[in-house]
Formats: sequence, structure tokens, C-alpha cells
Amino acid sequence: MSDGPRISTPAWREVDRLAALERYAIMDTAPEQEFDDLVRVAAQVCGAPIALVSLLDDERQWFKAALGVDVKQTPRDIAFCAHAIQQRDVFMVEDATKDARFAENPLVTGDAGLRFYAGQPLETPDGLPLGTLCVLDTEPRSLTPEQRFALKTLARQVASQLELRKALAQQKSSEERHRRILESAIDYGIISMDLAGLISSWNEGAHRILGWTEPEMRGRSCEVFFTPEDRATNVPEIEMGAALTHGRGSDERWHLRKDGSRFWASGEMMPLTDQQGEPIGFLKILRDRTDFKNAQTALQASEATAERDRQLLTSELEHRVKNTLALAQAIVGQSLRTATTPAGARDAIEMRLVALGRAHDILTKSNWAAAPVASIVAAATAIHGAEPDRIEAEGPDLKINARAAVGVSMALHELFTNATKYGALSNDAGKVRVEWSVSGEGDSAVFQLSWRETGGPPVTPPSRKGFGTRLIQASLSGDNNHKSDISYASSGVVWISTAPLRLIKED
Amino acid sequence: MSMSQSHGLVVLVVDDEALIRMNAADMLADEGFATIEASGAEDALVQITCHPEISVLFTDINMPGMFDGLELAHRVHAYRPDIRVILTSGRSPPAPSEIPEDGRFLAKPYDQISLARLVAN
Repeated sequence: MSDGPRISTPAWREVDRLAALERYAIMDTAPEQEFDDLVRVAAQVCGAPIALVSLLDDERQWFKAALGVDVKQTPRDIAFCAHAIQQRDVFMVEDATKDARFAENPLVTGDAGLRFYAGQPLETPDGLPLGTLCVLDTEPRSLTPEQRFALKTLARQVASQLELRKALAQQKSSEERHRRILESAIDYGIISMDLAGLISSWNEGAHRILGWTEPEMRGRSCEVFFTPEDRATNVPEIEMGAALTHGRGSDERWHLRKDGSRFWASGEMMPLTDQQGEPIGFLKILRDRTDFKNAQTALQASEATAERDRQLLTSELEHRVKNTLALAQAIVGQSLRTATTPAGARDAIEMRLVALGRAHDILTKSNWAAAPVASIVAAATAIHGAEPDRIEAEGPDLKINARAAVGVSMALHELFTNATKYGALSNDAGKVRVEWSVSGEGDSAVFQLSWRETGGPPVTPPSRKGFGTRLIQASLSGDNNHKSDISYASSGVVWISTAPLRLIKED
Repeated sequence: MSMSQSHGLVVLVVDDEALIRMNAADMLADEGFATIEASGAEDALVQITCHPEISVLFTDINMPGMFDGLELAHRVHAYRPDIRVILTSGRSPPAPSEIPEDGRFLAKPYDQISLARLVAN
């Protein structure tokens, strides 16, 4: 090499050059008229029998266009072009047999018998040589300055053609990608239309969601997929108007499918404008959100139910609180009315409120629906600290409603109070027997509760009918045939209360 | 104890809750009204029939049985339009259109003065 023309170190790296070549995606592609024309012109201008567009990868030169040779490629190590790309100007070998670099080259010594080579690098916009446009001859010769200029000019044309080809390929691939995105966006219906609402494109998603195909819809009015009620109220026009005025029109409504069924669309309509910004049509993007809409509707319905339940519960709670207040008020009022001393009144009020509270405790356990009679009796016994063996309680497993439970609790409280003060529980021997039962069937069934004291001191009837007595008598809701009665036999107090079962049984 | 000037009015007090009914009756007695008690709507209708002197019906709305206090009020109003109706409840008051003509509503718990004023008027 030392005896050849001086070769300046190129301003590029081979790895970048190869990467650039890759980006042009041209190696091994079919012949193209544009390149064929350019090599023909190059051959004519230079008066050469052979002209090539030669591209150089890491192991070969490959001819995108070739005039005067049959081969499509040669190994890189014998390629003149490999030398040509090392410089920026025309690389010329006038007689290869006289050039040490090419004298032993098989293209020179073999059947091809090449003698002359002139090649101009094909540079990318950033200066990377992909190959050359070259002319060759089997006779030693040279190029005139005009021919050199023509070769350089034509090489730039080839490079421009390569650039154009690459740009077109990129655009095509981006269009293809764009089309594929539109097609694959099957969850979205993407519809374009003109200013009158006539459809100009209709993607696969629109086909899937609405049922019509693009050929069926092109040129038709978008009104076909609006519901009759929306058409009647000019919703399509309003939506387009909103798109023009505000840049978008919201589309949250029921739409029609081809088969007449409806779906909940969620989307919007936007104006399409030309390069001057003038509207030329609309783009409508919509999704089928029927499932979402149905779920939302169901949720709203269940929320409404929950709200109704909440209101019912609030109303029921309010009723209970008010009723309890009214009861407490009655207890206080009655106790004050009948008490003979303030201390007596205070004790009576306290004890009665405790009895009321205990009845409520029992009711709370059953969600205020019902209370077992046995529990009410046991609670009353416990409040008064009565010795269990002096109280006999017996009756069927029966639950009574809240009002009856409170009534029985309060009555038992009064009976226990009296028994502890004056009756069977005022000495060490007396006993109390509490019994309950149901007789009869259906609507005529009657509940009976009895309290019988024995073994206490002799009983004398009270001088006046106090609150306790009245409470005991009125404790169970009765009618004219079923009342409570208390008798003050000397052997002990007896209370018998009856009530129609239907009025006191659990709700 | 319940001695005072007589208004000449006889009030039928209806409440299934014995304590509350008794207390209401005592309040009215304190204010000089005569009272008759009933523990339910059906019982009340019997009392109305038996006691033509009843001039005011004071009834709880929420009661068990065949019909409630509101229905009782309507039946009494139809049968004896001269009887004035006062309804009470621990729940929200019924709509005015649900109450018989000239009927009133008193929320539970109520005090003696309010009750007496409504009954007297």
C-alpha cells in the first residue's frame, strides 16, 4: 500500500457505516427502475461498458443496479469499491494491471479482464459511505473533468434515491402501524364522518361494537346508530355542534347496534380540521360500556335499598328511643304521684327504671323481636336478690314481644317488691311460684301467667290502689275478656293475668 | 289527687303500653278530664260503643292487633264524627292527609300541659 495514492483516515467508523446500511434495508432487494436508469446514464456519460450501484457490507459488495455484468455481488476483499469509499472524491484506477493494489485481483487477471475503475462514494446525509456509483472498462483509460462531474452528480442522485426510498419505507411502515393500531383497537369504535355526519371510515372496533361493517356504513349517516328518541331530539346534531363549538362533544348515551339492540356508549366526538384549521368533519371514538352501566345501575339500586333500610332502621330506633323515654316518663310520673316521701319516690323510680333496663337488656339480645318468658322471670328474680330455691318458675319455652316483655317485667318487679316488703319473701319460709302456659289454638289461644305466694305472713289488702297494683293489673295487653286480677287472700297474694296469645307472641 | 274543675269532656286513652296509658290517663285526670282506658284498637271500638259520653279519642298509632291507631281514628271519625281525634306516636307524624279531618298529632314523649291543651281545645 505504501506505493499507492495516499489514503486519508476516514471520518467515520465502519460499525456506524454498517448500521446505517442496515437502516436502508436495501441489500438483496429486487431491482428498481430508478437505480437502473441512473447506472445507464452513468455508463453513457462516461462512455463505459459497465456501471454499478454497489453497496458494501462487511463481507461483500452487492449491486443494487448493474449494467454490463451478470454477477450480483463479489467478495469484499476484491472489490474496488472498498477502496473508493475510503475517500470522498472520485476514486479512479486508470490501468489496474499497473496498480499494485489491483494487479493480482481476479477481476483483473480473470475472464472479466477489468482495467479501468472510477467510483464516487454514495454518502448518507451524515457522511457515511454506503457504497459507490462506479463505471468500469476493460480498456485502460481516464475520465474527462465533465465526466467526473457527471459521475459525482449522478452519485448524489443515487444517494437521494436511497434516502427517498428509506423515507417512503418508513412512512409506509408507520402508516401500516397506524392502520394496525386502528384495527387492533377493537375495544374502541373509531369513526370518521364529514360535516353532514356521513361516515367516511369505520374501524374494526366500530364493526365489533355496532355490528355494521365499514362497506355497509361508508357514506351513510351516523344517525342510524342513534336511538329514535335521541334522533327525535336532534342529539346527533347537538353532539356535532358541541364538537365544533367546544372542541369536543360528549357521547355518553345508549346507541343502537345493527341488530336493533342497545348498548351504553362512552366516548366523544372531536372536529377534524384541514391544515388551515377549518373543520372538515368529525372523529368519533366510543366504547361499549354496557357492562359498566349495568353494574352502575345495579349499584345505585342497591345503594337505594341500603338507604331505605337505613331509614327504616333509623325510624325504628327513633321509635324505640321515644317509647323508652315515654315509659321512663310514665314511671317517674307515676312513682312521684304515689310515693309518700321523696326518698320513697327516689327508690321506687330507681328500682323501676332498673327493671325497665333489664327488660331492655333481654330484648336487645333478641334484636328487640322477642324475649323468652323464662329469661324475664330469671332477670326479675336476680334484681331482687331472691334466693333461687324460694322461687319456682315453670312454663313452656315461649317468647313474647317487646311490649309484653316490658309489661311482664314491670309487673313482676312490683310483685317482687311487695313480696319482699310484706309478702312471702319478707320472712324466711315463704315461697313464690311463677307459672305460665298457653291454652287453646290459633287466634283464640290464650296466654296465662300466674304468681302465687305461700308461706308468708298473713296478707291484708292495701288500703288504696297504688301504682304498683294498677301496673300489675294492666301489665299484659288484654281485651275485655282477658284482664289481670290480683287477690289478697290471707294465705298469700295471687296474681293471674291472661292475654290473647296473638297480641303478645313474638312479632 | 285528680280533682279539679271538670271540663265535661270524657277522653278515651288508647295505648298498648300499660304504663304509658296509665300515665296519660293520670295526666288528663290531673287536668280535670274524665278518662276511659283501652289497651288496643279493638278494645277502643268496644269502649266507644259502650260509652256515648266519650268526646275525645287520644290514641297511640303503633299497636298490635287487627288494625292500628290510625285506622281506629278513621273508623271512629266515620262512626262518631263529633269525637275529636288526637294521635300520638314515637315515630314520625303521619302526613296531614292521613289524619282524619280536624285530627291532631302529639309526639311521644309528651308533657301534661301540651296534652291537656290539645284535649281541651
